[in-house]
This record gives sequence, structure tokens and C-alpha cells, in this order.
Amino acid sequence: MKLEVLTLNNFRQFVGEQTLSFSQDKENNITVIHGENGAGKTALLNSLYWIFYDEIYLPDPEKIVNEKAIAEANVGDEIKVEGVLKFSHDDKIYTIQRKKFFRKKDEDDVTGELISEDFNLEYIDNQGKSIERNNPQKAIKQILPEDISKLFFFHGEYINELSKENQQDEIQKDIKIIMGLEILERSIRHLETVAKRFENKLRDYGDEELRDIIDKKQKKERELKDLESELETIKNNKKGIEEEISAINEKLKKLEGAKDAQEERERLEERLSKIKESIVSTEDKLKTEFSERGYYMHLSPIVKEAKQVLDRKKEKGELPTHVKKQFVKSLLNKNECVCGRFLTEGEDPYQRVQEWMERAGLEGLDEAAFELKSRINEFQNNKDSFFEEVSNLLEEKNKLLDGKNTVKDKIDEISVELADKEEENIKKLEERRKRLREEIDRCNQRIGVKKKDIEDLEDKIKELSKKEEKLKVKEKKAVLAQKRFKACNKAKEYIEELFDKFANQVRNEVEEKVGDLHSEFLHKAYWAEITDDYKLKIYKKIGDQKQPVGMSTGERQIASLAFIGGLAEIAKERYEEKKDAIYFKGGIYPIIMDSPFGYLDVVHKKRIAEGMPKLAEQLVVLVTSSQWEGGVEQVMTTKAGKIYELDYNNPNEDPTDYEYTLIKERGR
Amino acid sequence: MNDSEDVSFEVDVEEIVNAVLEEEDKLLHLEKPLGINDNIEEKIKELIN
Repeated sequence: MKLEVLTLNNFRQFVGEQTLSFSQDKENNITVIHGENGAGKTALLNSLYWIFYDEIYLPDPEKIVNEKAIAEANVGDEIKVEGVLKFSHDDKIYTIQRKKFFRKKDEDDVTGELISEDFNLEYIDNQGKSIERNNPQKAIKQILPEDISKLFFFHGEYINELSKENQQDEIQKDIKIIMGLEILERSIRHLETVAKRFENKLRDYGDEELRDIIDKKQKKERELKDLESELETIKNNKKGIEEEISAINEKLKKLEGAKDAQEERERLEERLSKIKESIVSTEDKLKTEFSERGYYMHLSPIVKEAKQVLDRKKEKGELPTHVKKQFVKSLLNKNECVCGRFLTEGEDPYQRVQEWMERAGLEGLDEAAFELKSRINEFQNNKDSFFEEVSNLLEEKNKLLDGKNTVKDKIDEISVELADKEEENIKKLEERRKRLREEIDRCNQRIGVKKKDIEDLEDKIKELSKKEEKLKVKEKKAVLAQKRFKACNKAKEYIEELFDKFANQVRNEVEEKVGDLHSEFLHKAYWAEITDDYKLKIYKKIGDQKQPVGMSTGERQIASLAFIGGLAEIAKERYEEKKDAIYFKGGIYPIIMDSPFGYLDVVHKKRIAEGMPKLAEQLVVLVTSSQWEGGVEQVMTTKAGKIYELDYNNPNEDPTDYEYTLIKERGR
Repeated sequence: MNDSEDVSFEVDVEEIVNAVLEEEDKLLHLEKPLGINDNIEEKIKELIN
């Protein structure tokens, strides 16, 4: 997908018809859009969401009509709001157009009443003929799924979230969508439905025992579905609460009496999250110690006993052995004693020499005893080092737990301090925040319980499935239904394996790319990894140990940009290689970054500015003048094919005027 | 048909998987994608009869 021309008409602060052409140049692939805070950068980014998905992620999303346009209209007039985007995709030129018509209800109306709307998508075919797609919303979702758009059309603040601890679901989802693995997920879902149909047939034709098993299993499956949906609801609630807390945090930061305390709390919460990560890492190390060397604990008594046996033998003079069995055997074979006496079988001297066979040692016994002893000593040393390491780790964990409690106490103190403030608004906000935090704790508990219940239920379903598959059926129709049912399940398992294989392959590829980019952007002895459970983590080496690194806001931004850049690059490579594959085919997407340098220092701004244009075929950057400074200008201007300015008309300068923005190309 | 015919499952499973993926691919390009489950069911019935 490559963006060509965007035209807005009376959308939000863009008054009248405004046009922006994106750079099509392969070398100078950046389109830069300058705009100060409030000039409309985020509104411009949102115009794309609006055109594609009829969504606006801005305050007052219902205010679509430009305020100047509605103010200047007469009561009863119709005002058209329109967004048109021309873009190329898969060798076709598309034009997507969203129109909404509003009527001005009265003199004070600033929103307008929606009267009608229209949405269409056209493309030009090989013969140059214009064709309108029937189901445009669905077609758009195939060309650019909404989740992907959020990943590539982003605001600087959103991407910081990606590298946070709780974002693994998001990262996993992004990886799957971008690589087209969803088709496999859908296949799994559809096969489940079809399997159920065959299972119902099997139930109808099977005997009573089978019917009973199927009924029980289906009942459990229904319970499982309910539990999963309850879990999803709790998770969504939790997300909503977290968003509300973030909004409260922002409000507190804007209030003079709460600003410092809130900022301190955020620093402490950042520290708390780093401590929690270190606790998890220490616990992981403990687990590794126990799984790799934990057997020392169980073997200790046996080894001790072996040592005692060896010591006793030594005390008795049995070890080392002085006479070897082989030597006694050779005497008996030669029928001659060491003293020269002839040995005759059955006679007393023969008997006495033979008795030495019992007392003599085997060949190699001394060496074995020696070896055993040195192994016992080695075991002892390893055991000591194991216990020492475990004790160090436990001590480390305890220190971290103490640190965690101290930080938690400080956070609690801040909460009390804010709740005791005289300013009523601060007090209210903090009390609300406290209640929400308690609600989150309850959500976490409920999530834990639901997860456990789900696991138990899954085990029971598995048991019943085994019984169901093993049960012999006699009736011909039942046999056929059972075969189809089994085949359906096997196909589902096959696709699940395929899915895991690809997801893992993609995860590894993303990890490699993200790691490379992260090093390129950050230039520190840190590296990025995507863990098995899809967490984006940064590590450093201390001695020969790998340690997770707690990230600052700027570092989070770099990690997230590396993740997005890595995904974009892989999707592009995959698309070029496997354009015709049914699944796992990737795609080419532009990257649109709104205020991406917000938290970065001069050095990192410059590195990101150098690195990002290489990752996408097309890059659109929306920046303020302060974000543009510090080397960004120097690097990006040389690669900018188009430069625009958002010319903002500030109504404060003239009370009779309105707030609006004009899009102006520089140099024109 | 009896249980000994289970050996043919390996072949059938791959055929089923391919058939399902083809149906899914068609679904992506259809304007009004309806009846995917019916199509998959029919395919399986054709392959195992």
C-alpha cells in the first residue's frame, strides 16, 4: 500500500478543501508535515482512521464538521464533510471516499445533525476502467486491517505502550495479523464448527454410552466458552479501568497542587515495575538452578553413604586391594601356588587358594574406587556451589521484595497525601483513583481464578475426548460420522501445528530484526528480545549472566520503534517473496508517525531519523519545530520528497474568528 | 468401512487441510462470503465417504 493524495473537506479543523500529496519518490520517500501543538497533526492522522474505518480517536469525536464552516452556514443549511484518499495497492489504484452531510439545527449548533452519509471504494482495473467495490468496508479491512493501521499510523505516545509489560497480547496479535496468520486461525475456528456437526451426527447414530460422553463433553465445552467469555470481559474491564487511571494521572499532572506528587508517583511506579521484572528474572534463575542442579539435594544422602562405604573399606584394608581375582585364577589354572606347591583340585591347598577368590579385588576395582572418590569430592564442590548460588538468589529476591515494599509504601504515602489535599478536585480525583486501583486488584484475582477454572475444565474435556475417540461404534452411519469427526479434528490439529510453527518462525525473525534495529538505534550494549510469551524485553549482560533492563520512557520509545520497523521490514520482504502464497504473505505498508521523537534526546532522535526511512517504502512524519531540531532536520530534509506545514489560525488572537488549519506545501 | 482404514487418514488430513485453506482464501476475495462451514463440511464428506 502506498498513499498518494489525501483530500479533506471541512473535516475537524481543516476548513474547506485541503489537499496533501504524499511523496512517491523511492529515494526521497519521506513526507514531512510540520505543525505546532494543536495545529492539527493528530487530527490529520485521525482523518485516515475516519476515512478507512469511520473512527476518530480524539477528544469530542462527534465533532466532525469544521467549526468555521458550520458557524458561517445558515440554520437549515447542509454542510458536507468529506475525506478522499487515493492509494495504490497490489498493482491497482484505489480511491476511497467517505462523505457525511450535516444540517445546522440552530444558531448555537456547533456539531450539526447527521442527515446522510456515503462511503465508497473504487479501483482502476488493467484496462483503465473504474470499478466500484460492492462491500467497501469489508474490502478495506482486507487491504488494511484496522489493527495494522494502528500499528503503522501511530502517535508517539501509543507506541511507548508496546514495550510495556502487559502488551504481549498486542504484540502477538500484531505479529499474527501482519503475517497473514489469521487465515490459519480462521481455519481452526471453522474446522471446530464442522467437527461439531459431525459429532452431532455421531451422537445421533451412536449408542447410549457414546451419547452420554458426547453430552457431557458438549456441556463442559459450553461451560468453557462461558468462562472464556467471562475472562475476556474481566480483562476488558481491567483495560478500561487502567485507561481511566491514566486519564486521572494526566489530570493530576495538570493541577498545580498535585503535579509534583503525581510525577513522583510515576517515577516510583516505573521503579516498581523494574523491581517486579527483576523479581521475575530472579525467580526464573532460581527455577533454572533447581531444574539443572536441584538433584544435588536428593542425591546428597546416597553420596554420603557411598563415601562412608569407601572409608570403611579403606579402614579395614580392603581398599586398595592387594590381590587381584585374575591373579588367583591364573594360579588355579596353572595348578601351582606362589610358594611352588602343586595344587590338585579337591585337595586342601587348592581349596585355600580358591578361597582367595572371594577376598581378592576385581581388575579395575581400585581405579573405580579412586574415580568414585574424586567424583564424590567433585559432587561435594558442585553441591556447595549450588547451595551458595541458591542462597545468593534467595537473598537477592528478598532484597528486591524489601525494595518493592518500600516503593509501594512510598506510593501509598503519595496517595494519602493527595487524598488529604484541601483542593476538592484533587481529593476527588485521588479517591476515584484509589477505588479504581482496588478494582484492578479484584480484577487480577478474578482473572487468576478464571484461568485456573479454565485449565481444569480443559483437562476434563480432553479426558472425555479421548474416551469419545476410543469408543467403538457399530452402526454404519455412526462409523462414517466418527471417521469424519476424527479427520476434522486431525486437520484442526495439523493446522494448529502449522500455525505454531509459523508463529514461532515469525517471532524469531521479528526478534532478530528488532534486535538489529534496536542496537542500531540505541548503540548500547543492550539487545531486544521477544520472549516465548511475546513480551518485548531488553537485556544486558552482567558477567556471563543475561539481565533484563528496566526501560526509561525514551528507551521504550526506541524499543517500540524498533519493533514496528522490524515488522514493517519483514512484512515487506515476505510480501516480495511470497506474494502468491495462500497464507503467511506479509504486505507493504507506509509508516505514519505523529510526534515520534517526543521522549528522545538529541542523539537518539538523530538515529531514529536516520534509521526509520530505510524500513518503510513510504514514511510520513508529523512533527513540531522542537521535535524537528537536534539533527532530525538535517537527516530528514535530505530524504524528504514533500514538505508541508499546518498553518493554524488561532482564534484567541481575534475573538470573532474561528479555529482552523490550512495545509500548505512548503516552497509553493 | 472399519478402523483399519484409519491409515488412510494421513492422506485425507492433508487433503482436508488444503481444501480448507483454499476455501479460506476464496473467502478473502468474495464480496459476500457465506457458507464456508457448509463448503468445508461438503469437502470432508467428499473425501471421506
